Amino acid sequence: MELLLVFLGAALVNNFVLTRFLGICPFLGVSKKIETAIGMGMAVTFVMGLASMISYIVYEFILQPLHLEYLYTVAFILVIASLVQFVEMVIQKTSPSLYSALGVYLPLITTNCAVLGVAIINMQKSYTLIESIVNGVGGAIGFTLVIVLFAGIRERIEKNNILPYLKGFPIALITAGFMAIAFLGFQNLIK
Amino acid sequence: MREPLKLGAILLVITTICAGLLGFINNLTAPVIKLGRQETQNQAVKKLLPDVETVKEIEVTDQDKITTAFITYKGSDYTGSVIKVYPEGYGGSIELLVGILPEGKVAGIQVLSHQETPGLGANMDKEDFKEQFPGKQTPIVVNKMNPSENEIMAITGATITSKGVADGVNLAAEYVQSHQEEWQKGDAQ
Amino acid sequence: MKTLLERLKAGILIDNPTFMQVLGMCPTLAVTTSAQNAVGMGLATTAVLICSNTVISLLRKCIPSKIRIPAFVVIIASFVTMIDLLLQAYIPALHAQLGLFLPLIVVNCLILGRAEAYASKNKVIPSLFDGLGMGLGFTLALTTIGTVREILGAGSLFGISVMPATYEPAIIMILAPGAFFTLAILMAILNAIRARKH
Repeated sequence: MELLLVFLGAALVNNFVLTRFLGICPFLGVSKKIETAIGMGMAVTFVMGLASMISYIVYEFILQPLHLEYLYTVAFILVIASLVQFVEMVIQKTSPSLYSALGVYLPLITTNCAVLGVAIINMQKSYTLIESIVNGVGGAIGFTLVIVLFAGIRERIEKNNILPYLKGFPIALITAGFMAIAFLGFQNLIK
Repeated sequence: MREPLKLGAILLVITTICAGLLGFINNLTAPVIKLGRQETQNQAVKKLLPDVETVKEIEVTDQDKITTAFITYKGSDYTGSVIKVYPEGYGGSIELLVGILPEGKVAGIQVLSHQETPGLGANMDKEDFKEQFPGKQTPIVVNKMNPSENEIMAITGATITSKGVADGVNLAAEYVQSHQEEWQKGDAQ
Repeated sequence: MKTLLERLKAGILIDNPTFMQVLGMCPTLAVTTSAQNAVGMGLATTAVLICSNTVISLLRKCIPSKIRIPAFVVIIASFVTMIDLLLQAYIPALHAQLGLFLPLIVVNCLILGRAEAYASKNKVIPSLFDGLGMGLGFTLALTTIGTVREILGAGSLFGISVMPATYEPAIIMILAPGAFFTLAILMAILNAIRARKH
């Protein structure tokens, strides 16, 4: 039950993109087509789950025993950068089609603040290993949900006539704003 | 085979130098940070229970959201306690000090730190919200409209924050109630 | 001297990180709930930018190209941690307000971007000024957004009431949607201004 609350909290109530403002850059950048949005979402889910797990292990078994907690930023970002590099190599070898589909977006996951963000949140909330992974995966699923919805709306907007000054980012941001209002509705989902 | 080793070595050197520098800065700042926290804490405890002689600080391990209890005495008389509790707010945990008088009423609250939204939840640190608490009997209930005896008025647009603070106060009072007897005997450890 | 001024102008106006390059969006939306927070975030980011640009430029001939990204990341992360610790010790109020977004400066694509695009290829002093210019441009953009959100959403500026007592604050501006809308409108206005100029 606890885990379900962590999951719902991460995916909906404290949605990483629309409530916590994490992962905005890929949210704005990779949401022009639904297919790329889905691919990005899946890659991010995989990375966030693994990153949550590994950063927990690093913090619990290396940083804390050695009283090096203050190095968490450096440690976590190194974990994430290495993880993304590793994932890239694995995908390249096992599924070249997926690799070319994701293209340049894969290395960009390193700078996705949602990944580093969730690692830090797990640490700040003192989540257990399982809670950390659930938070990571939940948050990533929330991210995927939002980015795919957004892509769907943007694909539609592309076909309409938008005022010249609103074209591009302005109309995208206004759309995101309305989505954020919608997600405010989830606020009282968990007591 | 030599190249990856050389690259790895350079990266290791850079990382080590950085870690060393950070270790230096950490040694510099850690005591300042600790002192700053203690100062704020001590001042807050004094503000809540001004007329006390000795303060005994104990680490709390049998309650999830409570970390510390400051038990105060005047001579051998128990004069109330201040509980450091971390209820959930809107943006994260709220670091709250709750003063509970010997007769069970709330002495007041002090906010040590929070991550609430400025203009909304952050207004919990304003006097007009905090001054609702002294004298109230727990459990406290949050009311958006016209609060009665044991109710407090929520901050407009920050019900979650307000409820979080009330929860913290209630938790603190519960904890004090279950331990007050042993504290009054001076058996706290 | 000309390069230095040119770097400042580029960062503040021509290549403004927020409105032109659209980088560093996460803190832009999250930490602009008040003008004060916005300024704090901008200055913290500027500090990291200046330090990382300077050091990376100093070391640019020693860092092999193949490991440059991890090396940059370690250096940037170290400066962020330094600022984190220093703020925690000497300006705890600001540290608490910036919260999660202080360590997240590490993944602000602006900093890695400048390291890669400028500092790793240019001399130290110009790199320093590039960091300063971009940082100031970022701070200016954030402060503008923070000001709008605070005035409309809380009726105050830097904590001081500026709207008449009868003004009912539009709380939505302080919440998430307000961030998106404010940035959208400001960008649209800038688009309009730029279109007129041409």
